[in-house]
Amino acid sequence: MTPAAEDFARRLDAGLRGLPADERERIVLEIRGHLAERGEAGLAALGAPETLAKTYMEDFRMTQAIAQANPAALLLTILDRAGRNAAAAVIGFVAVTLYLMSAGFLVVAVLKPFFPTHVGLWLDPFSFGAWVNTATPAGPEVLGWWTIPVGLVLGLVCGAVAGPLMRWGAERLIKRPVFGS
Amino acid sequence: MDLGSWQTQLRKGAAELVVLALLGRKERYGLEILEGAGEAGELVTEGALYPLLTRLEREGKLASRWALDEGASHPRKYYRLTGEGERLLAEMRPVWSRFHAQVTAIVEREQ
Repeated sequence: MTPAAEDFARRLDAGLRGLPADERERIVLEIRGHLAERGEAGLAALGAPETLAKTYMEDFRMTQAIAQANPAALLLTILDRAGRNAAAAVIGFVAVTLYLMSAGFLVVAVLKPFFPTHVGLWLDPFSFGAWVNTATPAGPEVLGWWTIPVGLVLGLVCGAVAGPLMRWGAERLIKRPVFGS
Repeated sequence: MDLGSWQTQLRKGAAELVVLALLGRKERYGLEILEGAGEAGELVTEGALYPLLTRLEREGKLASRWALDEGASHPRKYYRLTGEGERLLAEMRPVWSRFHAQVTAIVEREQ
């Protein structure tokens, strides 16, 4: 490689600081190969190494934003689109439902020690699956003190599933093809 | 809007489809994709191609392998479509055809 190409690769590498090391290495290796084959013309066509690095970094940050965005921001973004986009509406509805279920299970677990006879799981056909029973409970309660761990686990699982689901949805919503109808 | 920035917008919109379509035919490395897209860089510029390939790979639309070909001083990174990439290409084709037909009909009628 010519000194000019070496300089380009070095400046590109410096501009990619912040990327995972292996990804950065692969990018520089690919551009080095390109410059070696393409010669002077390739150097001119690629423009400034800083500009090229910036393009890589912007793409990377967008992916990161989705991966690291806090669930509240993601949910708001998805619900904001729900009025215009059926997929966003479905994802938003499922996410909200999961959060409500999560909150419900956690509340049940927390209430059990305070209202041991009114909190639990009854399987009689009239209060089907009710967890909090305000009336005098009819029939035997199924879980007993297991209500607390079961409520905690179900609450945490529902809450934990909502985040990845929204991320999955956000990726698909954002990465629609440019010509998408 | 000046002509140059408009052309940049056009390229940006088309680049992803052009790259997917070229890779839909066979596995290629960066320079081969550029050659396939026309040497003048009218469809995909070199500065846009490589970040685009990296992004498409990160999104799971492309897969790649490195190869040290005979006569090449550097390893080449060959890209191919994944199943997801093929599905995306199949979705984009008819949208593009419709778009192209509509624009052409209007532009050429006004000439």
